Amino acid sequence: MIAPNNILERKSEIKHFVATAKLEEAVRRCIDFYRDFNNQDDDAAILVSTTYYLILIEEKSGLITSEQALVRKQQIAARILNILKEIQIN
Amino acid sequence: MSINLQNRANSIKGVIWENPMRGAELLSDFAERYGADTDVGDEILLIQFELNASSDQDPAHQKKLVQKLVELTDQVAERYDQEKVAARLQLEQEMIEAAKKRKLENGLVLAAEGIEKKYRSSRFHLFAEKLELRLGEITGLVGENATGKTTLLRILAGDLALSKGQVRFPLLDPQNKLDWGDIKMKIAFVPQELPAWEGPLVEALRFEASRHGILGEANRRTVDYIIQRLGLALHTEKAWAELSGGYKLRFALAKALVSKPQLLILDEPLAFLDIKTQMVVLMDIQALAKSLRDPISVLISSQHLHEVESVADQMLFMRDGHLENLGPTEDIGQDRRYNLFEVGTPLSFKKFEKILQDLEYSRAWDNGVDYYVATPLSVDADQILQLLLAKGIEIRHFRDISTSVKTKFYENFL
Repeated sequence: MIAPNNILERKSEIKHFVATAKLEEAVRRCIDFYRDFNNQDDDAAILVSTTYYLILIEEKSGLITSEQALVRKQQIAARILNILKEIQIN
Repeated sequence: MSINLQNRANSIKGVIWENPMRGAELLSDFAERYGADTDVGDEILLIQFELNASSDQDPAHQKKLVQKLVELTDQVAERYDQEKVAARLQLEQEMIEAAKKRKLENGLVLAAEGIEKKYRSSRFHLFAEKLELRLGEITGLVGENATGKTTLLRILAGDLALSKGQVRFPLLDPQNKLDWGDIKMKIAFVPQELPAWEGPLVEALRFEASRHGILGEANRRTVDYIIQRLGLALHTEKAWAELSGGYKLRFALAKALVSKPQLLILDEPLAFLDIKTQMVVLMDIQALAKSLRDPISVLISSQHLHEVESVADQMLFMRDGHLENLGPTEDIGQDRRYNLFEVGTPLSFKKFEKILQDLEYSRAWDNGVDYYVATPLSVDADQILQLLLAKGIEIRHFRDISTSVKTKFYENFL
């Protein structure tokens, strides 16, 4: 297992999940990452996760097409990468 | 731009045209080393995502993605700026160093000494000489059936009284008042038989959090967090009976974790899960236990030895009510006198045993499913495999269990 304070490896792991389109794993790891390294107590990663599952619900119930779902999942992927970029530790 | 950098970019572009996935990976590494900023790296990752996410992609769109990768390759090479790259790497290094200072807390959550449990109505006698559980650590408890594992877990969770000995909770109860009402609020116990839930699952989680004093906005946030973290969002409106075994366990875990316990005790959580779900659950437990913000001490009993070993920091072994503390998982078998191998083959045991006669002294036995081979330390897995393959033996599976807790189950044969 990656050491919890190895920020570089943890980022790489999440990026790998994004690149390989394993978005569910990326979202979960992003929640852990955000909780461990973010100094503020907000819900940015939870919001990403909530949106991700909303997309799955809408796709499953036919409210959006799989093409539309893909575009929105790409946005989720981009938001995950933004979270990784925005975290600053000092 | 140096000629070397341009050459490297050209060779990556060649790979991109041939194999976009592989090319994107090479480009990703290239951008990591030579990219002036991180935006290019993110763009590459998003293209990789798109290539992987859609299996039936329109060829024209795929060509566009490939073209974009080629453009990004040129962009990295053309915009290379040694000073900018050095500054980016310097910032990255500073962040790594700052993160390293955040240590995983490992305070002592539970310390048990000389604990015993006897029942008047039976001859069963549980004894554990010493046991320590720390924050951020996973402790695996294994042993044969009916050896006292559940009894031990229930004692540590405060559900059963001790006959003798002492259990302290230095972090949960610093003054050692042993007020079980207070202590149990910080311990979560998930039994093997999961009780059914009434009503909407999300409401049950909210109630559980409020029972632990988490109210108002904090209640909403805590429940939201645990639902999202355990991937339960698609199932919150379902009834208990509609859930699969895997999701029942995940909801039970959610209920246990929503109170933010410092000690999580799980009795055979993997018992009815398929292998994929077992690993997902274990990975989640590991990530949650080793949270820098809210670490948890986890004690988990299981018959799934290899799976538990793969995440446990220390292992316990129970035999006939007696607890043996095996210490750190990585140390198991370090002082062994034999190597031990597990072999699955359709060959009859008699023939299998005969083949082993060619080896330096070894001993084999059949447990009804697999064959086991104990050898001196001078014989390693390669030699056994080479011997079996040289004889043309069909091997269905082979495992070196010399440093596994599994060896404890076969001590009588050694």
